[in-house]
Amino acid sequence: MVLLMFIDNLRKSVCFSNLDNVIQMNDSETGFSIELTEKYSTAKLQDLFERVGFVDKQLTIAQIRKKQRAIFKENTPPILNRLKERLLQITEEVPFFIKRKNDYDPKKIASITDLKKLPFMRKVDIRNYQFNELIPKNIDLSLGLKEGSITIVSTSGSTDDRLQIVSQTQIDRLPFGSDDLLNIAIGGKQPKTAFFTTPLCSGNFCHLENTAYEKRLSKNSPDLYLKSTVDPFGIQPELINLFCEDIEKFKPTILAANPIYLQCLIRRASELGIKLPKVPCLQYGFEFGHQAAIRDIKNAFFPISTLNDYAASEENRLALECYRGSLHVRSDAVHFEILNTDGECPPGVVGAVAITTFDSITPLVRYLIGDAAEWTGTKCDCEFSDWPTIILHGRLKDMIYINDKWVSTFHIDSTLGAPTWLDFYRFIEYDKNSYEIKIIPALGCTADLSEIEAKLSKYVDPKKIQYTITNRFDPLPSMKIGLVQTRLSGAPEIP
Amino acid sequence: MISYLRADFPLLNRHIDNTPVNYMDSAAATLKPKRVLDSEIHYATEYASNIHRGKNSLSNEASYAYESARHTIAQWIKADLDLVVMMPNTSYALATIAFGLELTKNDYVLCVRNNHHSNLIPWIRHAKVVYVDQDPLEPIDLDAVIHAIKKYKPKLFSFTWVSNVNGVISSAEMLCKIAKEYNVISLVDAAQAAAHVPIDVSQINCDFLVFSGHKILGPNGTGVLYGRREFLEKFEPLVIGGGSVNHVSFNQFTLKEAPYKFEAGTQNISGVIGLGEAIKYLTEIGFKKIIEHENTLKQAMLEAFKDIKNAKILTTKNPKDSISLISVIPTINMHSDILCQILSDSYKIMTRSGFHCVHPLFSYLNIINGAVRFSPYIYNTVEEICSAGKALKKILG
Repeated sequence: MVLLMFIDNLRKSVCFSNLDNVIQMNDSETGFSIELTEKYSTAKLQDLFERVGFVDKQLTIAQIRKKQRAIFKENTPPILNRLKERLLQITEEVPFFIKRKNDYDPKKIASITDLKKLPFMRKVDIRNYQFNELIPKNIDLSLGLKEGSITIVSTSGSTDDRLQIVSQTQIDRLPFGSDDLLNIAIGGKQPKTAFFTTPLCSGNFCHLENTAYEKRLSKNSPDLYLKSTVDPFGIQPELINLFCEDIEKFKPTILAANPIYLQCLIRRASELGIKLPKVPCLQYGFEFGHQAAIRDIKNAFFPISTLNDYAASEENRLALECYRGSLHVRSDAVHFEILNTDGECPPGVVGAVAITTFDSITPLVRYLIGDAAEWTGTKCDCEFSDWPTIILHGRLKDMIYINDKWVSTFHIDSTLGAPTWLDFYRFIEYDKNSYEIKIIPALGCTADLSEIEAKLSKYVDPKKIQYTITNRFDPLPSMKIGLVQTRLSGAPEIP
Repeated sequence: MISYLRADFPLLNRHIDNTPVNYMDSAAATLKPKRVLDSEIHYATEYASNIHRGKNSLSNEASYAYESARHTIAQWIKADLDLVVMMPNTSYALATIAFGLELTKNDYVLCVRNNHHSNLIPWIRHAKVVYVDQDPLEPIDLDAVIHAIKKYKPKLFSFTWVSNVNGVISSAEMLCKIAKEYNVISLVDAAQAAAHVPIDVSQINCDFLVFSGHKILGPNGTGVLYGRREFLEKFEPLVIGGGSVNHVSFNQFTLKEAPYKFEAGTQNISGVIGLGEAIKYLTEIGFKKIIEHENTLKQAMLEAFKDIKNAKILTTKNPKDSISLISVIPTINMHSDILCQILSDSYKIMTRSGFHCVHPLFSYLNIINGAVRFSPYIYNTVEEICSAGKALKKILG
């Protein structure tokens, strides 16, 4: 009854519903919602509504989101508590952790640094235990699949890389208030997203990939899977035309793309004189985006935002680049560690990424995801400044040991930069005295090998490098391209 | 049990994540025994020369080994040597027959709804396809065939001896007898049958019989077309070129006799030699033992897969009517590709998913997510079947 007194004062976008004696209030403009479970006095309700921006009609929507984000933060327990709660939960509910209760005992964790006492999880653990031990006892996999609340996500890759992971069907890909992160108008719902990536990005989708538009629309989220190609360096006009038609029809807020596949499409569209449609925001992920690709994407889609989205099949909420150019760790979804053989890496030191997930169906604890990164150590001044920022270095298995140092894809890419004549490159280590760099020059340009030679001399004696000009690269088994590769075994799990 | 044979198959030594591979994808391609691989290596390293047209001693050795393989195959299927044509695979053999028969759109070809695409598309392209009206998961019904023949008066009856979807076996001999009675040309697609049942073309009395080498322990890129003499003599080859002709002038050519006129260009010599070796290997084991072992595997599969809650098992009403091959359809929201990947990556069980090149059958049965096919063979064990059953129960409930 008290609530009724506020109805005229609430912002138009705020509505409420009564469910099982719980009043749920939802702000459709921002997606923020609260539940009123107790009896409130008028004054208390007034205070709450002011704090969550439900009543103040003078505030801008960004100011309202700021208020609501503060409430989120207020209600989120400290990281240590979250980790301990998670360990407590999984050692009671998940057979894998129940069996290893001693290893994962929450009592061991008195501080964040104690996390290092816990063992690592690896891809092989998911492959071996996902369906036997890694599903919580209270989850009925068959029922979840039947009802559609659970899905099985399959990764691409070579035999020892591939895995399938049980996951919630509906996970918000972006955090609350992403409008302020990406600097685009998203509103209170997950934004419409069109995905353009390899044809093998997910076993769930690969069979949809060749079908009609309606069948490529996701049943669970506002997403469209754009038709891909098995031959990114030989894209046909029909694919580009379909890409354009689908984008025009679907009108996504975000185009999420494999940067190299998209660069191939942009290059071919430019060659054919096909103008690509604009989208409000472009997020790139799925594999390392080299500078030349980002340059071409920005040129093709200017002036939209072109931002990195670091995700994986095991947990698709790892890090997001904000409009200020910082790659923020998704502290709402994961605890993120960067480790080398000495332990936790300080800012500026490259290490292996290990994640601990807070709410995924398949719990991951100190899971070595196979990527390398470094903390920047700098605080971003965007609205998500409390989420720490990283530099992503690419896959660990692609790291090359040169002059007593591990060199990452990021290192090579930073060295090569994006000269105007360069579109794509692939740097391969065959053995310690034999390297090759394959180059696809920009359309109408000639490769300046002396520039490449000079730049790479920082790492490798140029005489040991073979230079090859080509017009295509063979995709990897995962259908990704792989800019930096080593044929030597022994790349570090933890550098 | 003939599990002692496992040592003959090098791939069974393969481990993934320290777990041995459980290979149950034999309906797509059987494993190759070491002696088959050795015979191919022996060709490549010891004589390696091209066949037939050379007179150097290595070429003679190659020709001899190639023709010996043809001899082995002919003996195996009880056919005359010159009626055994080496082909790259079953599909190629079927396309050769479709071309040779000079079918027109006025001709009817009688098929069964479980025909593989390779035994369907050529007929759709060249003629009008009609179907035997029956449950496509059961053995081909003789009365239904007679009814269809009387109704459509087809020129050709082309059927699958053993289904690649549920392993159902039909009576090739009886079906060919019916075709003969009604003056219909008979074609037996033995691609799935050849590894599981003995073939005797004189007893079956078929006009054509085709199969692939890679499904009978032989190398990929090999296949066999058997044809009745009267057809092969008058057939125009699908491809002509070097090796298929006797004489060529600037404006004319004359073709060789069968089988050579159908074997234009350089053949898959090492593959054919390997196929001959595979057939010798199978002959040494003998179909009595093979069938006994398969029956054991089939019973084990029926037992291991029977209580899976969220799956439909595609098999025949009477298990006696099938080889050791079963397809599993998840009845929950899971595509067969995902189930296949999970079996592979989490349990190292290699199966095949999808629609198995029989799309019309799956459409007919209204199965939209495909099926996962388990096709064990002589090198598989009951323990492996039990592991597959346990894995399926874990995943599907």
